[in-house]
Amino acid sequence: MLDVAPRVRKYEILPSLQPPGIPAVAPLPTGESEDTRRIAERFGEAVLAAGLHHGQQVVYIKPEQLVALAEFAKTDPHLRYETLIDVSAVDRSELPVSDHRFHTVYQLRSYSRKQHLMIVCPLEDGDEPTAPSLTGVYSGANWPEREVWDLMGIRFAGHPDPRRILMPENWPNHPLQKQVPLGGEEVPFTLTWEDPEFESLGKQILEAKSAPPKLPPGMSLENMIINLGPHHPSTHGVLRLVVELDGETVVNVDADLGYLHSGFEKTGENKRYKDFVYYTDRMDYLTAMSNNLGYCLAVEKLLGVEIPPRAQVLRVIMAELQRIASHLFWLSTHVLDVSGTGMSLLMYATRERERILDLFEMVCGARLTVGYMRIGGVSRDIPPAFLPHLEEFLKIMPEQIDDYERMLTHGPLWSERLIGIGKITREEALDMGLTGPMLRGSGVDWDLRRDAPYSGYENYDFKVPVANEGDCYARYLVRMEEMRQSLRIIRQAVDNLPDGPYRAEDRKITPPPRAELDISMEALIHHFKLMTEGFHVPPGMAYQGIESSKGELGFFIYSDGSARPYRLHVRGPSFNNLYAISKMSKGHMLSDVITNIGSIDIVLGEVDR
Amino acid sequence: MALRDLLKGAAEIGKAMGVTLKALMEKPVTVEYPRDPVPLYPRFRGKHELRRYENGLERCIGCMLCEAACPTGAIYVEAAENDPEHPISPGERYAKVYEINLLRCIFCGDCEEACPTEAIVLGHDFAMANYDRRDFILTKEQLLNPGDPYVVIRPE
Ligand code: SF4
Ligand code: SF4
Repeated sequence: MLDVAPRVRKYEILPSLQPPGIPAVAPLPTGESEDTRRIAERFGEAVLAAGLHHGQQVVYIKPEQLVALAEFAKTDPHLRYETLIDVSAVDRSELPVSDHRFHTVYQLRSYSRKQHLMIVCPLEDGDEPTAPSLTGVYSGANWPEREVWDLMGIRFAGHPDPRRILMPENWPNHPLQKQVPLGGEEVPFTLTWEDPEFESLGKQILEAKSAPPKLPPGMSLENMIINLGPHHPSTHGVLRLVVELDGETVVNVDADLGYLHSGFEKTGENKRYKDFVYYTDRMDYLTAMSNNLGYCLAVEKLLGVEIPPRAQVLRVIMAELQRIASHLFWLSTHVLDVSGTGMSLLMYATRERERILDLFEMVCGARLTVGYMRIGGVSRDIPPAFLPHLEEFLKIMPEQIDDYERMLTHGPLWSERLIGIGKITREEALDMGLTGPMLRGSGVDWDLRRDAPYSGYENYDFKVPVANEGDCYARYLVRMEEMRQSLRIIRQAVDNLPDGPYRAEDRKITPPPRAELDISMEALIHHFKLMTEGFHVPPGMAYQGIESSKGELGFFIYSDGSARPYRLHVRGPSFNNLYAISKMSKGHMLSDVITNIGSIDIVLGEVDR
Repeated sequence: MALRDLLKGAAEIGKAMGVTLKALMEKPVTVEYPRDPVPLYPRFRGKHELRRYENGLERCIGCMLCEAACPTGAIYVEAAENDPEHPISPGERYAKVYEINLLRCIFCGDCEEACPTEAIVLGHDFAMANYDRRDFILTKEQLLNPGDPYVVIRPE
């Protein structure tokens, strides 16, 4: 078997610096809101705790009543939680508790009432921890529950398709359980290069018995089964789709994920809070700025730190630039997939994206893996040349978008390939837990920036484009308009850019300015402590969702009071949206599968994480 | 009806061709790399360099903060006492061994941020390809003598 003992060199923590009482359990919610009171009244004894925690509505429920609660939350006219956003779980074996080792955590969202509800379900201990499956209430629970089974080892009773989803079928453990070591290789240096211990370097590969490929459930050998991917230019990464075909018509699609799984969550749980910012860059590498933002906001929620206005506006500018860049890349690759004439548009869109990447490089020194934001603000202020360059970009960009539209919107090829393809109704979109343009293309008027504002988005005036058709063309129109609206937001942000510090002046979280290091002993101590041990985050849990270019990007963090996240879960919009591929493609032609993949807009780095 | 659709489609395609024709007049935005150097901004985070003071002394005082701050453990520092007769750095100690494993580094810049003496900085060299994994371990010697990267720096 694979040897995955961790041999990572640890930096030393001065024992005196370690505050007492770590690890600690997240406190129970206090107070109440209308919704939690209603649920508590309805379910009585089964509700273990209900109330508010960091401003979030949280309900602890016994597993027996979980499905009933979900049904109640979905159908009750006063609650109307239409969508299940996310499923995750916490392994509490390293916390000072003796029972209920596993908690499953659900995030529900009511679009009509603009409410968010977190449900925590403590599972009974036993050889096989089991939670009731919510797939009967929200079909979008399917993949997230498979993910929890795969990575955390929790069974879901009544799940229609209980296979692993990210790891190989024969993987020996469930990696997110706390007793599974982090694994990985020690970093070799000249000193250790000849060390026989390092002979395994780069050779830690799971011994694979070549197993006969299994037919995905629900498929029949009567029809033709083909593999689309994992190496196929139009799957936008290493995605393998098993497609069942009757002639040219798609009967069934099964997605095989995990080729790019790199254990971001496990890694994050073994890093200091500050370190994980750089890892978020690499999940959805086309929206690195948004990933930074979502993660920082989640940690800041737990810390309760105030972000200075200038930092907030800078964050908004970067996140919106990133949205445009990501949409440009989506557009160019989508066009390339769909119509052979797309080569020129690919060039034009990349040209404009290049301008954005140049701006990023000017600010933070990197173009793709930016790592610009910090917990407490941003890493550096903008240089003098930034605003003039941005102005120029704002000037030329509307015209360029017009040009793209001129090439596509009414073009016969483009409409032919997109209109009526990959249709998703409003109800289906809600049921499957789709977010972002996938949701707005199906007629749901929801945007986290407007409806659950973060980072000061409430101060901007912008429209949320919605289309009702639910096909690929509708999503195309939504995204094109989103780019225009992003430009509007940036315009307002630039006009109202306040002066002031670019990161919080809380020395427990952000390092002191360099000039202070030479003159102040206190600054030096803070600096030293931040760089070695990092900062401690009070025990608690927080979910923070932001509107990334692909949909709702959510970070769930469970803190035990130490300097590393006890549990870090990422809700990737690509992952949840990709679930729709099977529904979208059934009954259409094989070539439409390609259109659908492009229209969902996935990045495999985030799907597989 | 069909004819009208056809004409309309042709007109739309003509419009699209108009956009491409317009591009014929524009100047290329690409850089002829490697014939021409790549323009970079001063903040670009490339291959690391260890800096010296003007008097030739090394800035690095072997405090190992960069090693501790690095998210990936890509830095290895071994400190030693300075010989008062021939000091290598102005502090009490200096780095006897200083290595960076570029294969592990993610170019985040935290080492730069952590260093109290601004000794380690991320330079502008981005062409780091090599033939052997071994050659990706930057030694102190290489870090102190980084050479000139093939880039032009744009004003920021
Ligand atoms: S740039 Fe980041 S990853 Fe690379 S050596 Fe410095 S701290 Fe480590
Ligand atoms: S490079 Fe800077 S942080 Fe690293 S050991 Fe030298 S002085 Fe310390």
